[in-house]
Amino acid sequence: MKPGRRLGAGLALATAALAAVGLGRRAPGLLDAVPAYRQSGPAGARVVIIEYSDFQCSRCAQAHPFLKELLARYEGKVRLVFRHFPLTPHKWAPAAARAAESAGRQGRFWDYADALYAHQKEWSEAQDAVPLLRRYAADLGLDPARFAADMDSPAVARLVQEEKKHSESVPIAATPTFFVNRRVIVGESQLQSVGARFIERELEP
Amino acid sequence: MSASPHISAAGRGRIHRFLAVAAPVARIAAGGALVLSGYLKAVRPPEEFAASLEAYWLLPVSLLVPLARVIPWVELMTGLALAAGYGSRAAAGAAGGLYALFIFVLGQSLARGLKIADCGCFGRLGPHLEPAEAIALDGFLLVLCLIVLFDVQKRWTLDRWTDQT
Repeated sequence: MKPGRRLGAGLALATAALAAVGLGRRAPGLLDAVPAYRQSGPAGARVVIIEYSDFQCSRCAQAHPFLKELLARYEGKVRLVFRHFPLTPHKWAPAAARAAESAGRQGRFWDYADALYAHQKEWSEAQDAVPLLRRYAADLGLDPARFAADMDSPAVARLVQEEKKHSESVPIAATPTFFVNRRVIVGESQLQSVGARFIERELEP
Repeated sequence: MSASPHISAAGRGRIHRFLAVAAPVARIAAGGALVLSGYLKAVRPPEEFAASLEAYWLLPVSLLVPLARVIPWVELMTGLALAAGYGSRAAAGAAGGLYALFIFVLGQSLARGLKIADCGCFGRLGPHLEPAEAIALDGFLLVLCLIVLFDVQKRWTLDRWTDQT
């Protein structure tokens, strides 16, 4: 046996694996073109959470209350940015995303998101979700004509489509996915355990 | 008549010829599958694989992320060693151990009636297999590892190259 040759072969294999994985990893641009109404919290916050979510996904609805609790706990220190990722199997997810965008244009994105998650079962199982989506807007006191016009506008549809393309390019593999200062957190359980601890550490003086 | 098994010279010759072809193929297939599954997970954040592992309800979430950081690299390095024939028999033993572990984890999920649509074997972006399909695949790959374990010829391996004097 030639020990030098053996060591060299082992090192070559390990280097090939490291190089292949290094080349396969990508650093995505996460904050490209997010409207102000989908961002909450101070601009200079030490912790920025970017949420990739689908309003029809039940795990996203489960994560939502804890996310709100986190924002309340660290008020003024954490910034939340919402990105749409309507998943293909979810029939009404694109309509819900368009509705939330339309509410955002009237300054009520976050309130409307609360309503969508709170009534998720009702509208996601409906034969036609659109009347329900309009009703939630009316309940919030939004201008119904403007809401309906925005929801049907090609510009809003294009924006949601572009958001989906962006999420696929990151790529996001599951919803909800959170980037907390670029650290990835997938799902509510991780957000409550490793995510919450990570935020605490990031905010330590 | 002898009670011990007896293989004739012709039989030994057939086994020898079979292993000469089957062992390199088995090595590359079983190793390649581990390289693919390890690579597809290693290039993604470990939290994604940890989210897949959550569905098995085996360990607390806080332990899953460190585990998800390690497993893909173990798969990748073991698979690479096996496919390249570097420490072939040790790599085949390690790969066989991994496949047996995967079969156990998947099997217990079926026995407990857990609803898992995607085993997570190839990460979130790779091929999506249901646990029963993954057990069948892992079982087949485990048999391939056993073939490599019985091979002493080590054709087309790095071992053979490094052992040359």
